[in-house]
Amino acid sequence: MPEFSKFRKTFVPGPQVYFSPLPERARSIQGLSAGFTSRAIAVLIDIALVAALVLGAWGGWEALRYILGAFYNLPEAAGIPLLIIGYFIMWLYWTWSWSIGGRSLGNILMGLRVQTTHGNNLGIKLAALRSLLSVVFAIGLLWSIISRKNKSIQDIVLGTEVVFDWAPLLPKVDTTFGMETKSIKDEN
Amino acid sequence: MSRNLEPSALNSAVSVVASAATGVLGLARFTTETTVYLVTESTKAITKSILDTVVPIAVKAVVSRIDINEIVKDHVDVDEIVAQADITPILDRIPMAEIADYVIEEIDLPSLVRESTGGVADGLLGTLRFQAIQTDNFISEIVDRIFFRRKMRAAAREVSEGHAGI
Repeated sequence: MPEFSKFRKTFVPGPQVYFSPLPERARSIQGLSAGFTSRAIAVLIDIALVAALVLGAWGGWEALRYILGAFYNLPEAAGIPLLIIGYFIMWLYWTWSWSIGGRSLGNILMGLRVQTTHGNNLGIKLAALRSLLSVVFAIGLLWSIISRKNKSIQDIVLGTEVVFDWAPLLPKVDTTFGMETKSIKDEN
Repeated sequence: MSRNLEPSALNSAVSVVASAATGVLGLARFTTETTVYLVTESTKAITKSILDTVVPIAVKAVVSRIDINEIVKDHVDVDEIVAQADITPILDRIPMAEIADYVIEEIDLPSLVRESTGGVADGLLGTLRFQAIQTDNFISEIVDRIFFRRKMRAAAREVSEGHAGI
């Protein structure tokens, strides 16, 4: 640990520190359009999430009914209603997550972000529309295999794109480095 | 005639004596003043030279026998003086940018940032992501060949140029 005086003698001013939360190897692809596989995995993760949510809620509900109800018949195969609920929740979830930051859980895990072709965040309307198209016409994603710009049908229709964005959600950093500081609240 | 002259002779004698007395008095005064002046000045000079020699020795002797730091600590409120000092010119003399760089280097801030934010993305998850990207590159290369595209897609190009080994 050199003293400041020693550091000062050898100090050469200039941009010495490269601040980036991105890992070295991700910097070259940051912001480029993402291909089919990454996006498909992200979609599968989202579907798994929603499926777990819906099935868990349904199972919990049935279990509750079984415990409370004296006259309980075993649950019927509730496939179609559950599927509809699942689609609906999927639509809500994608609308919500794309509108607030362009990233669902699958997107976060795969390092992707949904944005407009101008690079802006999707508004709530556009997110809802894209989410709806993605839910009812999921097969449109296949076009990104062929598309020169990795665009799905939904992307082409709505003028959106999916890009690599490995920037993590930043955790809260303790900038006092453990030192005790008086908060403004205490002084007032 | 001589009786007539007598008073004038007496007058002359008196005036001679008076002149002589005045001369003697003047001489005495001059002598006295000069002597006093010389004595005073020489005393001053001697005293000065003695003091010039003695005082540093005396002060040195005194100072070497006391701890000024202790006296200042005991009798001077250093905190009070510092509190009254204008801090702005002091801050102006402090090389802030250099200190900032020094601190950044000392605590190795870049690695802290990387560890706290990029760790996950660069680990297992990063590997998964890059495997997906490479699969995409594989697929898009085939597709681009089928369609006789001359230019490969951007992500594939970037990754194959820079990070072929990952």
